[in-house]
Amino acid sequence: MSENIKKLDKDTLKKSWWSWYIGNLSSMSFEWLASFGFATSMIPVIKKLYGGNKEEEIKALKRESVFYNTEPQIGSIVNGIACGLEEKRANGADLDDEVINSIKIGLMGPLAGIGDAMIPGMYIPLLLSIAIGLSQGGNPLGAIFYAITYIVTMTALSYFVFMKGYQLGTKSVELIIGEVAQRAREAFNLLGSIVVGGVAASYVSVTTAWQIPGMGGSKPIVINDLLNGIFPKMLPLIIVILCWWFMSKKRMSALKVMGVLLLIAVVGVAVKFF
Amino acid sequence: MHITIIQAILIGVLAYLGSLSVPWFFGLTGGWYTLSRPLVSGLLIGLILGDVTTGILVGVGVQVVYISLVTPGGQMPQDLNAAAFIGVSLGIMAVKGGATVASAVAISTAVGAVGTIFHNFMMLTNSFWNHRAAQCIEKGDYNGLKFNHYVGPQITQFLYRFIPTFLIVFYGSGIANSIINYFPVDSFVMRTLTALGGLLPAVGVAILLKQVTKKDYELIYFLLGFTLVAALKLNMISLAIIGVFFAISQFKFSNRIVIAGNNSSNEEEEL
Repeated sequence: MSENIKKLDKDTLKKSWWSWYIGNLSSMSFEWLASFGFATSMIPVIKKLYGGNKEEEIKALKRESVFYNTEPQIGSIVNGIACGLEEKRANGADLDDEVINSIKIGLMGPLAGIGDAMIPGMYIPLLLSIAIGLSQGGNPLGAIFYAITYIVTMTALSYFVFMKGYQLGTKSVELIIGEVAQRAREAFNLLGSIVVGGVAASYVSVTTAWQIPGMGGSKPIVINDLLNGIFPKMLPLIIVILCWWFMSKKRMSALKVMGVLLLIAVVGVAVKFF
Repeated sequence: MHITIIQAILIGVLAYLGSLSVPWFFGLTGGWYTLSRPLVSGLLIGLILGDVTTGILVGVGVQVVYISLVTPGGQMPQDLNAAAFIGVSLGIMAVKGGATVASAVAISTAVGAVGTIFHNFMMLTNSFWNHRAAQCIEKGDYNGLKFNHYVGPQITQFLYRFIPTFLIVFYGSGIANSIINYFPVDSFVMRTLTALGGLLPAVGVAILLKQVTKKDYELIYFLLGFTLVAALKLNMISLAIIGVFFAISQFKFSNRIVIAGNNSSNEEEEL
């Protein structure tokens, strides 16, 4: 056995990563989600490790096509781990289908939760907030900034965690769910909160047309100016807090909250508030 | 404004390239998470229709509504692709016809709410391709698996995304013009849409706040950002620098032990 150790070369790993990176959800359905994305990405690895032994190839393909779903970009770490496991198995380690599957299934849940919270839940809003700031007055710079920054950083991250997954095995997950990563996430959340506050102040626009008629020929009191005198952009702030309260305290869906806003808009225009 | 057949085809193809599951432009990262962001689609549609400024203005407005849309497990509460391509295109046409940007935001958001039907159709028909892929695996047929994973589902997905986008964009300008003629800017309907378009971004911001604040007192970070811009008129880059200062301080000086993988707040995410 020792004279014939099978090793995955960099090229095979790169092929496998790229296949997953572009095609993770290509055939997604309610039933299977990323299953075939995973299986397809393992083709170069399986050919390399079990090439020639058709029975083993089919067994490996089946093993890697069970139900699978995670956040695909950062989830590429699991693909790296799976490549490592298959390599060990091909070299005779006692890793049956069940062990490999339970490792994948055990990781996909936490990574889906953390990945969704990190990427579409935090990193994308943060980049978009900055991009929106750069778009003032219809400037195309913001959109260009977002597109380039997002694609470059996310491609690099996905590749990096894939290779770490291959090199370090299951220990690599510490990179994403470990204590340092958790603290980094909290710091990013704080940054996101501050920046989105700026977006709210710039883009939630609520003003009222109501006025209190002035006494004896003096100027009417404009309610909007009165409110802004107390706290600038008070009405937009009230609306944001109201939406947040509906969603986090009353557990309303965003679609329902949009319905409430429609109602506010209709009533507001009817009573000439807006 | 007049839309040529070429313009409608280009927007339709971009809508396909940006939809969830399409591998051709950097996969999920370049398609769904980049092309289908209304800010980016606003720029691209603006370029195609020859008015980048209006494209960006409408795109930014719609973007704030959808700033933190999460789609866990393939569940699509609102179809961002429909909002970003059909919605933003109609929005630009409406603005060129004299409507307000805020009312364009309301129109685009409504398109996103209806558009989920395209996504659900794709998820259903992909089962057909999946069964064929599963058969290929039984036989160890690599090329068959690749075809039924990469190519087959993309044929149906192209039809689902290209055809509706092309038709609505091509015939949309006529519809948009007649709506604007029928409901002038100072009509009740248009004033309501304008008011709604100003309110809707609050939902996007609130979704994000719900995601990033674990404890209620953490809303103070949001209030800080809001105040700095509302009262002190800071621009976004300056605000981001102040934010990074606080984030680094938090990272350096928080040393408590935390439970790894504790992420319960994201489980019941729904839009």
